[in-house]
Amino acid sequence: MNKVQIFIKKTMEKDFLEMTKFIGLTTEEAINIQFQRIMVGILYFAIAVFFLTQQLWTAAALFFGMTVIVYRLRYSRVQSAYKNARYNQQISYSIFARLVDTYLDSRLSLYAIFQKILSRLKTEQSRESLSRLMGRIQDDSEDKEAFKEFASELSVTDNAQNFMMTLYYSQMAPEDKNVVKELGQMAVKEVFDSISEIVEIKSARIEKNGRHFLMVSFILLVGILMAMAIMYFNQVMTPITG
Amino acid sequence: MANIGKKRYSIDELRAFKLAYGRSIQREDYVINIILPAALVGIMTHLLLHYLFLTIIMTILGGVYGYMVLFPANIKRFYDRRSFEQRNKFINTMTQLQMASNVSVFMALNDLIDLTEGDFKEQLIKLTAQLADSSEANYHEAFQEFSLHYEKDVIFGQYVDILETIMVEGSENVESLKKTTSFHNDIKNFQKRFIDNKNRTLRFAKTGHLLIMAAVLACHFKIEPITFENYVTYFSHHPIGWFVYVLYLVGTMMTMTNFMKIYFDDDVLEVEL
Repeated sequence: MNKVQIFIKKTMEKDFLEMTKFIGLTTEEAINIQFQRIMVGILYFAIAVFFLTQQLWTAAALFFGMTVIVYRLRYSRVQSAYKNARYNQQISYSIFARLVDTYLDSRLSLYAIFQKILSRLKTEQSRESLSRLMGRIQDDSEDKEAFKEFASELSVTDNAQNFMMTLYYSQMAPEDKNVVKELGQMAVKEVFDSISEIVEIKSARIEKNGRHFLMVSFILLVGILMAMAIMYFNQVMTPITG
Repeated sequence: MANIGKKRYSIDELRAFKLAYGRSIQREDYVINIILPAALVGIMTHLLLHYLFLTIIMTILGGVYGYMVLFPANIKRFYDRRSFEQRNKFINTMTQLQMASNVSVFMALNDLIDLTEGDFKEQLIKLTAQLADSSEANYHEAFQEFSLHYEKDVIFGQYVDILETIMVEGSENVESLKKTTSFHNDIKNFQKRFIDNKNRTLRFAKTGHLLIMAAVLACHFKIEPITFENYVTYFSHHPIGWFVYVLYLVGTMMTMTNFMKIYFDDDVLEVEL
């Protein structure tokens, strides 16, 4: 990394690098994005300064505003992509939990279970996290930290931590049916919550669009009322002849 | 699933989708998807602006919209729903059959051929044929091909995986099958709830729009001081009318596109925030 890149990296927002990494961009790509942001910002700023020298105050102010907006816009785009990825990660985790649950009664080792599930995960990050976890339990099957890290990578909730810890202990006591049952209930609840939420989000969205659709139709009524007002105005103003 | 603005299907592909579940594209498909939107747009334009030439153009555009957007999306959805139903039926029946310990997976698969239909049945026949011919080493490929055909359905994939394990290792793993079945059934219930919600919203929008149309239509009759001539002079052939019409058209296009995007998307396991 050369000096320019280090400088560009310093101009980033604190969580910018982390977010770009999460949505699957390398550090270099993130630096490119940041470079583009700066260049576009400078371009708008230069235009603003040009207008300032020409004493066009309004245009100058407009372009100063645009500079800030354009610079922030890219950031908020990354932010929303990050939120989206994070959310889908959470869903991916809950599906993972449920899939793990289905295998717990078979006498497979956790490693074998993970291997079966690996290709079924939807997001790239969750697949990476899982293969990392698999690598670590292959080295040392009692690596507690690996489970913890996997949980925090995939989900922000305490439930995930809880689930992975229980999974870890279930491996210690394979004969204990209660742990498996408990894990099953957790997984079922997890998936239920996420899917209900998705259904709610999507339903709310379509309802919103339905309402907007009607509101748009009200434009027609308003238009007709306006036309009637003009008609009335015209007829009153026209002198009665004959 | 929502293919608006994404991939376009050719008419042959669509015919294949529809044929996959035993129905060819029929006259009612054309009526609902192409003639209806064309007629709606045409009627609305004529009621608002009363320019015959514009009405004809807008009718054609409405038909084109129906052909390009609604027609493929509707048929794809028909295929997706049918195919999902078949998979759900397969999973439930299979689990039932596996409860009886003397029924092998292969026998159960053979029995299920008669109970399923359409495209899914063909895939099942292909699978059983491959299983009958090949040695145990090739089982994995056959099952893999079967589940890859329905790649989007993760849970179904998992189910097929468990079936394969049972068949190869002969282990009694009914508990896993049961759990996966209940997962698939949960998804089905959620999907049903989602579809109900969507249909309710659609009905709501339809009714509201119909009322507005009735109000516009009412202006064509003689309710003093509104008369048909006045309506045409002061609204239809007047800048206000043109402006309102353009605004209405743009607004409808925007909301419709978003609305349809969600309406044709049945996936409850993914969301774009």
